[in-house]
Amino acid sequence: MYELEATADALLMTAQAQPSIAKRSVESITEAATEAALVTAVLAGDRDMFGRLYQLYAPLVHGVLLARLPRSEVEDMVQDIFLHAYRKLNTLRDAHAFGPWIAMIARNRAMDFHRRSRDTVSVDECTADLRSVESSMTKAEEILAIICTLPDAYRETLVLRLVEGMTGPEIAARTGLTPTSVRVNLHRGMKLLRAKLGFKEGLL
Amino acid sequence: MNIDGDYLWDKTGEPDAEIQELEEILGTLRYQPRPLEIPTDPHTDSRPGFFSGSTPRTLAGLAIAATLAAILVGVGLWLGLQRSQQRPAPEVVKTQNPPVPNSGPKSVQTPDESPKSTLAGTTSPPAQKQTDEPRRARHETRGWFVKNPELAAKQRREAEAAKDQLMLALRLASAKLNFAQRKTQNTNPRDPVHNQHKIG
Repeated sequence: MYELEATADALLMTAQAQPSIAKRSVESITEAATEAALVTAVLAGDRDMFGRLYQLYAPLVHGVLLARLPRSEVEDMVQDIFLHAYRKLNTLRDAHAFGPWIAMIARNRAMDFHRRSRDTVSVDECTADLRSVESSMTKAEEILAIICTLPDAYRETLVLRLVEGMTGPEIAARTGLTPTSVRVNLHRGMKLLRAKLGFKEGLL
Repeated sequence: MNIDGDYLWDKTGEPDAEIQELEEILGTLRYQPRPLEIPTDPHTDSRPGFFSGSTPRTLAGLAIAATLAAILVGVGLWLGLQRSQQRPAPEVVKTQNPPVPNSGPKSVQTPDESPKSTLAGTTSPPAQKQTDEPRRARHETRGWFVKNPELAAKQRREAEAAKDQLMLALRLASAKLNFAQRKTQNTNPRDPVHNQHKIG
C-alpha cells in the first residue's frame, strides 16, 4: 500500500506539466488496488464485494461480448460469465488481474458459442444477417454490424470506447492490454470504420 | 490524427463531431445495469485444487518426475519378470542322448587294428558334445523344455499380473502428464491479450 502511495506521489511530482496524465495514472493504480482488495474480500467470504466487482466490470464483459456475439445472446451471457467467475475466483492467481481474467473468460465463451453453433450462427453470418434485414435495424445496430466486420482487436476496442463509453486508459487498465496497443487499435480501427462508413452514405 | 486523436483516446482536447455522433448513436446499445443473482449455493471451490498454486515450472518438474518414476517402475517390473523366468525349472525333461561308445584309449584293440584307426576314434564326438552341454543347459533353464503345465500356468499368471501392474503404472503416468500439460497450457493467458493488437 505504501508502495502504491509512493508511486502515486512520484507520478504527481514528475508529471506536473501534464496533470491529466498523472491523474489518470493515479486513478488506474487506485483502481487496481481496489480490484485486488475486492477480490481478496470475496475470497475471504464476503459475497457482497463480488457485487462491486460486477458493477465495475460488467460493462467490460458486455463490450467484449457485444463485439463478438449477436446482441440477443449478450445479456444472459454476461450473467453466466460472472457466475462462472464467482465459482472459479480461487483459481485467479493475481488478484490485480481480475479484469484481464474475466475479459479472457468472455472471449473464450464467445469462441465456445461460435464453435457450438457453427452450423447456425457465426460472426460473419451474423453480420450478413444483420445486413439482410437492414430495414428493420436501428441505426446503432447497423453501425455495430459494420464494426463487427473489423478485425477482432479493433472491434473490441472500438466497442468498448464508442458503445460502453470507456476512455483508452480505462480500456487498457481493465483489459490488461498495454496503453500503446489500445491506442493503436483505436486509431487503426477508427480509420477502417470511417472508410467503411464512407461507403454507406447517409448513415451518419 | 492528433486533433481528434486526443479525443478518441481519452476524451480530452477538441471533440471530433463524427466520433461524438457515433458515441451518441452507439450509446443506445450500452450495458444496462442488471442485478447479479448469485445462487445461495453456487458450489464455490473454496478448497484450492492440487495444482492451483503451482507454477508452470513446478508442473513441468512434476511431469518429469512422474515420467521417471513410471519408467523406473516399468524397468523394475521387467527385470523382476526376467529374473523369475531365468530361475532354474525344477523338472526338466532330460534329452535322451544315446551313450556314445567310448572309443578312447581304453578301447580294446584287436591285434588286427592299426594305429591309424585308434587315432580317428579319439578325436571325433566327445569334444563336440562338451561344447553343446552349456547351451542346452541354458535353454533348459529358460523354460523351453519345461513340461510341467502347473508351473507354466503359475508363471504365466505371475507374468500377467506384472504386466497389468506395468500397464497401470504407465496409464497413471500418462494421465498425470496429460493433466500437467493441460495445466501448463492454461497458465499463460496474458500473452494473447498483450499481442492482441497484432491479430489484425
